[in-house]
Amino acid sequence: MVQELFAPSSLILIATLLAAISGVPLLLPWLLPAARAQLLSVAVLLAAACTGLTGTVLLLLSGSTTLFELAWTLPFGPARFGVDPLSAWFLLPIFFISGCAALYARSYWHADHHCDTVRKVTFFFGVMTASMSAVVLARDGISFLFAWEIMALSAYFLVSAEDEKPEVNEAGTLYMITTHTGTLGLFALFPLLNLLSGSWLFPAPASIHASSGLSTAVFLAALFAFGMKAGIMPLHIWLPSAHANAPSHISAAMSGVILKIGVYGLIRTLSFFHDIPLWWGGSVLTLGAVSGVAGVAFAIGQHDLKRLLAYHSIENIGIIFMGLGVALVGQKVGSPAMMLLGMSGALLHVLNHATFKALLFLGAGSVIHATGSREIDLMGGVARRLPYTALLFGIGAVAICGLPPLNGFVSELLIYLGLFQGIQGEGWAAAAAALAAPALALVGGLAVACFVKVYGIVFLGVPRAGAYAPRHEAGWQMLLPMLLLGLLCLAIGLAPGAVTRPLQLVSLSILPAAVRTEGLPLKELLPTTMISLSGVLLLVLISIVAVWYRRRLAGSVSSETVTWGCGYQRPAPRMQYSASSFAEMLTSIFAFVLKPHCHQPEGITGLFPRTSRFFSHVPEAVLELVYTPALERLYERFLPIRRMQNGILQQYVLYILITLVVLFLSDYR
Amino acid sequence: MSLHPFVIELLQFALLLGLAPAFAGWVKVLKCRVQGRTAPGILQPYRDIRRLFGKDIVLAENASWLFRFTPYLTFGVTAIAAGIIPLISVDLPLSATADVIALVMLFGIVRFFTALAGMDIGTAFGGMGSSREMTIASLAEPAMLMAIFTVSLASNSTSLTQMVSVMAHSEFVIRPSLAFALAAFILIALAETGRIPVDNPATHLELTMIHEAMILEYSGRHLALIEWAGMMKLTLFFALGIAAFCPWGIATGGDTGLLLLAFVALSAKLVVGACVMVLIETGLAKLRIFRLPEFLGSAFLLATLGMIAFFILE
Repeated sequence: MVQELFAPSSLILIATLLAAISGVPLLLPWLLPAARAQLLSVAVLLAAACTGLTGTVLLLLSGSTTLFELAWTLPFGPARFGVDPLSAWFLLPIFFISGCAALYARSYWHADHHCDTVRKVTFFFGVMTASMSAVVLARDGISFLFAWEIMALSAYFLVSAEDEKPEVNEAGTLYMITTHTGTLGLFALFPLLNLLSGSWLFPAPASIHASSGLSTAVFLAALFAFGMKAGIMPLHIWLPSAHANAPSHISAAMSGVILKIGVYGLIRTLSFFHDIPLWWGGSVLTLGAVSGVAGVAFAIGQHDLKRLLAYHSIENIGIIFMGLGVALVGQKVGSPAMMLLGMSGALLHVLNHATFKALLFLGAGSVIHATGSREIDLMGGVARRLPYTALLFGIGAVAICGLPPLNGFVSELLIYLGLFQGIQGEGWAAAAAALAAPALALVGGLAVACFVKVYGIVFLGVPRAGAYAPRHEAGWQMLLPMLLLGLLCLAIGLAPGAVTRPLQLVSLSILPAAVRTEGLPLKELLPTTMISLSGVLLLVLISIVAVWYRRRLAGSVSSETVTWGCGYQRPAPRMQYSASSFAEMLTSIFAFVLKPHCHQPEGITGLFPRTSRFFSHVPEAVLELVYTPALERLYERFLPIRRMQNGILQQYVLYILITLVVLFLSDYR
Repeated sequence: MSLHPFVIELLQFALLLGLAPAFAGWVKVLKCRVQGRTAPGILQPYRDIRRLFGKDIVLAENASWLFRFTPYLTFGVTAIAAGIIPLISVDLPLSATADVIALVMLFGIVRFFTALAGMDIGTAFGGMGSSREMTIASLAEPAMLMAIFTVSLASNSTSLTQMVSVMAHSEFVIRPSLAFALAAFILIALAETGRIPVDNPATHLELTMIHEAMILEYSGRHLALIEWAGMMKLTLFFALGIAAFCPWGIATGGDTGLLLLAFVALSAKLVVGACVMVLIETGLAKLRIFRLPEFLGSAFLLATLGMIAFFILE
């Protein structure tokens, strides 16, 4: 009994339940003061995270699969939950990021400063963590949908935490609409799957032939529903505003983990099929490339710190989809190396993106806490007052750019190598890979440009507006989670050899049986020693220089002077390059997608022109130029039907009654 | 007599550190001759570096640790790259790290920090330089990767040492794919090392400078390190081109005679390569900065043509 309790799968279940109830202490205000209750909640969630992580790591090391069944009186068959390597891989970021975000929230969203929202935020954060875990554990369509809906709704309450602000409300509503449109896709997906396999339980891996029309419908439904949740490019419209307006630790959890649940859903659905046609892989690869390039192009134009990071999430989901596409194409052309490299690249990037994006969002939270604004153009010189946040944010920035020696480099290298394998092949697969490789390089290059912009404008230079000068460094409760995330970035970057075994395990558990027998170790495909060696070399070099430099600095005298401004004697902070001016060249190159708004200054004539201003802004072009006009037209067309929705409750009850009677009659016949 | 790989590695470091200024000086001498000016002498870069090391540092008021740290990082990472690219021998202890993708990323780190240093001092010039440099670099990266993949297709590996040994041991055949890739590589190398027609290393004119705008505030030994690293980067791009496109003569072991031969071959190739670059630089005017996307776009197209040529013809 005791042994069973400590089995990895039980630990994960216990962690899920603990997370679900972690917000309860705050709901009992007559027992505990809010600050104490928050502390207790955080402690419970941290315990859940530690338990869950222990279970997950043990499971990934053993590679076993456990199934639980729950008796269920609904006519859908039993509710089945299970832990297998794929679930465990996605549970890693769920528990790790949630734990970090919860600790961060203790200081960032302290009960004394946010007394009206702290109950809601803490409670639903626990529920969201538990429901994400439940989604990943679910093994039948109905439990999956239940968990999925709880996750979507709790995320809604978290996004709209400060719902007294109109823009937060708007972001929440947009999120609500899009997430339910995505759920519609799931309502189509599971019945179709039921038709294919004859059961609501998830079919076994590679048990369905992918060539039938039904399979195609399943694939399209999954791509729509899970693509919506993951924020793939034409379906991403909810993502920027939701991530920007949620509290920062919520943004970290949403961007780090919820988006990955969409990726999980797609991978899980794809794992049911064998003989996947080339166009499935091709379309996933294309969607990935489009999201990657367009996501980062939009990010460059942003001047709201969190909106910018949100667009980078779209970019990184694009990279993950590209890895997935490489694996699918590899499956079609029968290249085990391509499959393994693509799939493990995608999986590793899931973990990596969760880590560095959470780090960046938490860092952004500290900056916003200290300056009181999300507007990049008002900041500057933050590194001087927030040295630790600046250092940790810098680690996240280098990691997300895919530069060695951090983790982003490893997963992108895996995908590059997968693409290179593809190029060596023949026919369409080679052409697809040859087109995707430069897209990935462009994404990487633009990401570096964008993070030079963010880091340079926010952390370096001098404060641009006195009122928004940074005031204080973040407390240890905010710094510690960031430190943990930064260390994980460094660890994966320096020792990728440590993750190759679990990656191989997870990849092989979902790839069709044909490849499993080939026994191709990932270690031989990925030059892990190369990465470790060059990483360590780089770090040793940096530390030697740092030590030597500190020594020298002690004795050396260097004079200081005003920065040279082309002979101008008194340079002012506002003469610095701004975020918009930094991005101007790139936004004008991508203007055909970004459609930037420029407000030109007026009235600059004569010897004494009057005061004027210039501003530019990159809107969410897809939403404003595609969806909104189309939906408005649809709204006008359906105006007559809207009369049914008149706000009188009795009539709604009548509708329900009529529906039920009709259903009864149709069944009776 | 055969040398230990570690000795060769050290030799390579020394070679690059020592010869990079001479190479930069040689380019300058050639350029002056072609343009009808009096040349300063091939040793001028050494004198410049020595002079800069002797000078005091003047820092801008707003400079943070990042600004002061970047020159050392730039120099160190460029030196690591020198240990990776096979100059005179393939048999290097660091050759395991000689993946071309990793090499591109190493230059990426240098660029990331140099651009940040440009923004650190809070001036319009630094930001302007960083913005331009990052724009060019991000557009050059796809072309660079495409050219590299085209070359590595022949050797089935992205490992530089693998590429070099396959090339060095195969017979000389004119391959259309490699010709296209070489043309693309030359365009990219001009952009990456900041030469005409992309950037002019000799100018400090506010409106046109790119790389110089980022490092405008550097002085004393900081500037010396950055300048030296810049010369090494120039030499390294030549060495990369030589390794990828005409590595003939490179030693595969540690035999002293062969190494000496490889050194002579390398020097001859560098001398010829510099002539080509000087002709390009003298024959062309600097492009308007808004035309650069077209320049890099044509580099990308050339590289893509190379890849298509590989599929169709080889």
